[in-house]
Amino acid sequence: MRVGISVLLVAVLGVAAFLASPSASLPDTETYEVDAVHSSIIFRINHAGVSNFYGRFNAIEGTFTVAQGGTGSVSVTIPVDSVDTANEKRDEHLKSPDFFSAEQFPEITFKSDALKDIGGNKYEAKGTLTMHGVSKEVTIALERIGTKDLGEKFGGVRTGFDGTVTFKRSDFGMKYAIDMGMLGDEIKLFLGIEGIRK
Amino acid sequence: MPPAEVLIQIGYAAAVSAAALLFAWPWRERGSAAPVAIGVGAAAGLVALRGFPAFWPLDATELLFHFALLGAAIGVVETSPRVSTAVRGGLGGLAVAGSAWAILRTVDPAWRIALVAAGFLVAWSALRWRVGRVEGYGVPLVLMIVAGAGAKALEYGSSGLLAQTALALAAATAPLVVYAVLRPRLSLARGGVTAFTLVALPLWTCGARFANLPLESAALLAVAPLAAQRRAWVGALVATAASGFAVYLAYAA
Repeated sequence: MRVGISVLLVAVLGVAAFLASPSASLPDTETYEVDAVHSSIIFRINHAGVSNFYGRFNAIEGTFTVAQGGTGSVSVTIPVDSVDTANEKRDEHLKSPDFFSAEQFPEITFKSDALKDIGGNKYEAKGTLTMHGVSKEVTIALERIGTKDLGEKFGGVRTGFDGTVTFKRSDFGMKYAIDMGMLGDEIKLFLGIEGIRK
Repeated sequence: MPPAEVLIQIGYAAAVSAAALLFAWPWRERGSAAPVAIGVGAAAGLVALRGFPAFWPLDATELLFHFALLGAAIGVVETSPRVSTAVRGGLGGLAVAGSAWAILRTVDPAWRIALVAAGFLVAWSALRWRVGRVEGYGVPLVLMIVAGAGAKALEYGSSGLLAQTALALAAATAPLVVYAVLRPRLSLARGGVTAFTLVALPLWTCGARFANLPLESAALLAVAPLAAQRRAWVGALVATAASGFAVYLAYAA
């Protein structure tokens, strides 16, 4: 009987110690730094009503947080200078006052304090998209792809999202070639974001 | 060759400019019609191309519309016989130097803006001095050639929007060539130069600073109007050569 009580006591203490240990407790809010190497920002625009054309931004930086309840925040910056459409002349044109006016407005930013889990690995990030000096509210639809500890060698815990958002460039003061029907007004962004837990 | 829609929109600049000249015919002796034709004509062309800009404009290039109207207003003041020489020169100089600050204030340090503003003042003063000695259609012809060539240079400099703005300026200047043939004693020294310069110099600067117009091209386009002289065809040839070289530099860059 005395042996039984001892075993029970040891077991209870063991469980209590396990629960109290730092490695066992999950943080309330996880903060991730965007891993530019494994993230993609791709945009789509209609060309002359004939086809959809795709381009990308090669750089992104920022952080996002995900809390236990599925809420969180996002703050990312994309340097306009990193725009890449596989054509140097066209990239220069995109940076000119006809479109982004990159000298005057060198960054695109998205800030949200309203990341929300809407179930089934789906999230929504309502926030402010700023480009070409104009800020507008947009909602990015996100899907959490996975979360994994890849070990110290690969930066530890990583998580990733796919996302899309559609908006009109004319809302951001970029109206060039819309009237002539050469380039569409609607832009769709495809995001593949990977973060490394800090 | 720009698309037909753009040509029609630029046609508004010429139509408004011509209308301003017709309307002002009874007051032709004062010469106020020229700055109004250039400034309001260019502004009308810009509205047709881009719509009304916001105030205060976010994008530096949207300021060109406001500069066009400001140039027309200052041009009218400059042609008024009741205004003293000091006020005339002061107003124009302030506006020309201020335009450099307005377009560069968010991207350049104060010393560089001061340098550009000083360059603007030198170019504007030199053109006023030069044009003061030339009457007739030679001056508007040179201004039209330079603005038209500037459009091509800006197109090579990666900005269709700025190229169209230069075309609108050329179109606004074109009716003045005809007007000056009918009225050979027309001088643009008062008013006309300020109205043209207040659009042209910021336009070349926007091309060099915000697009890919080479600095050498912008500088050549800024000084090319100085080619204007009594023998109109000689001035036109020199201006064509100078601004043509500016186009070549933009093409080769």
